[in-house]
Amino acid sequence: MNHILQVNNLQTAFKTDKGMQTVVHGISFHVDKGEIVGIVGESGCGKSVTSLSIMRLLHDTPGKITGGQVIYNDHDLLRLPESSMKGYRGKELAMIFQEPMTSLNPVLKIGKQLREPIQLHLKMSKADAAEHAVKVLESVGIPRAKDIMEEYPHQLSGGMRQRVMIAMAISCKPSLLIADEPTTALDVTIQAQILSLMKEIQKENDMGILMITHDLGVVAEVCNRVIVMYAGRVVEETTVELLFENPKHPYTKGLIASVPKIGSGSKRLHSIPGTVPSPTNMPTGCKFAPRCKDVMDFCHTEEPGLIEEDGHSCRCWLYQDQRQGAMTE
Amino acid sequence: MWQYILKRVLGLIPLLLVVSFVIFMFIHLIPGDAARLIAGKKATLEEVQAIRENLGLDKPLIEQYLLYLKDLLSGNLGYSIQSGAPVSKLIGERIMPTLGLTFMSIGWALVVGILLGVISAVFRNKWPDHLGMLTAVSGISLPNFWVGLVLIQLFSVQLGLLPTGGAEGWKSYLMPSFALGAGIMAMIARFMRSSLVNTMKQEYIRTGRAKGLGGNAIVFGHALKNSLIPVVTIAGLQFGFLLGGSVVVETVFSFPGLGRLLIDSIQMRDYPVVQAEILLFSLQFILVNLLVDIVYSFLNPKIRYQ
Repeated sequence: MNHILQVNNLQTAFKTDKGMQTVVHGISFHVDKGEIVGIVGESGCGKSVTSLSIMRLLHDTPGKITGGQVIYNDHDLLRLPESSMKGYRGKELAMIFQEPMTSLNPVLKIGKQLREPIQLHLKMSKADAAEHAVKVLESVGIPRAKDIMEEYPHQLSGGMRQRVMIAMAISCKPSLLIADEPTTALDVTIQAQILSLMKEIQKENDMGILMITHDLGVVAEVCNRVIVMYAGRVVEETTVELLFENPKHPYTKGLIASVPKIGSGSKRLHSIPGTVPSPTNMPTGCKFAPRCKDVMDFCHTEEPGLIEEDGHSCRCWLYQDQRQGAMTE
Repeated sequence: MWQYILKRVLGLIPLLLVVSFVIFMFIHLIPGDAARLIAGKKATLEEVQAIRENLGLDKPLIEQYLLYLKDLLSGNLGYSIQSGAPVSKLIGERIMPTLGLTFMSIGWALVVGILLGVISAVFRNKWPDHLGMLTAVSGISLPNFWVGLVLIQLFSVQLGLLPTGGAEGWKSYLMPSFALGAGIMAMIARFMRSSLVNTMKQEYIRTGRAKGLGGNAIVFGHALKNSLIPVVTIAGLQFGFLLGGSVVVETVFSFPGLGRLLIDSIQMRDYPVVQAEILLFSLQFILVNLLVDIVYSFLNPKIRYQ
């Protein structure tokens, strides 16, 4: 049992005009020590909501966790009172976000923002925390770290700001880092730097990383294991190698086919027709059926279960017969 | 920081020149002859002409303006047509009570308004919010002269605790500052609430929570400073208006402030006093604006570094 994080049947719903709409439908997965797990999917598939649910950061959103377990160190985080949960955030589980521009407070100096979790969790004095913060800044490759402590976020470039976010997240040596699209808002060259930095700090601190992304390139670059999400459900889960060698789910195949390849000539880029269905307008049966090129008649009426075979799970009727699927649901 | 303030203060000089020019020209657009007004109805043409020459009213407008500017710089605001007293003395007598009343009104309105707004935002859609916003709506809806009359009835007539009017001692400032501040407090509370509610949805607030910060550290350490800009804007605007004196509340409390001086001098066609008061109001508004901009730059470092 080396799992640092075990998510069981997590369900999250959003309050809308039409009542509670479930956006995360009973997701289960785990992250092991020293492992980088990717969650991939299009916008609106529920991957960000999943990450926020794990951290219980659905404040100020209409979202609410409606069921399941998030087990960290034998404790179910979903059962903790908010006051104890605060002790986990930033200390045991840390998070970095997509927009380094808007994720740092524009009116506070970098130094103060970095010191906060250190003073809070490591119980250091202001001066010690500042010293610790400078060390962490240097460890994420920020030059003139001392000066930057006195600067404001808008004085830094996007890549620098994301490094500051990473420094803030790892300052208390968390066991799990959740990164929600950490490179999406950055230039391509900076993206590569940030990804290699994340791999580096992951090795140094022996953390687990949960990498939320829509970019299969990022997955191939850093992840060990991948979870493909569609419409609030896990549709495929396996190692990175297996996923790219032998993708099973038609959705995963579509995603991989839509990544541009060098040397593929001037062929039109593949795209999956249609969009992710909205929670208010979910198809019955398999949620991917309306967009699937391998769709069969009963796909529209019955939803397949998630079936594992040789470390490769998939939620598709192509790989199971109807009866088997119904049994596992 | 100091460089920024110095730059802004120097920038005021051309602005003040333009303002004084416009006010001077507007006063001269008003129909009527000041010399004739001073001389009185029975004066002969020669007498009127003598007064006109004496005051320099026969000179070209531009020259008159330059003379006016020269007097202004040496602190001479002219003389009241009505009483013959120096305008600077008339305004000097009224400015202190108005300043005192303004600071008291805006002071309590800011403190209570911000507090009420923060409480309402933190307990959004719960009973403290409903109570706070009910208070705010009452503050905006009740006319200040009516609040003033009710206060006089209660505290002066019934209880005999406070003077009904005048500007002697701090006690006479209590009721007028309450009447004047109520609406401003209400406005500040509403702006504070909506601004803080909006700030709490920002991503850096989520970052703060992800660090493990608690509610108070989030609201007071991260959100408040970001939410104050609209509040400062509205408070600055109201501050400027209050400095001009409030005719209605000053009348209800027989308060010797600038508002009543202005109305009285307009009624008496006392142009030198009117002109000086308008210039003073403009200057006050310009200074308040500068103050607001300086506060902005404290709140938002981006403004400071531009």
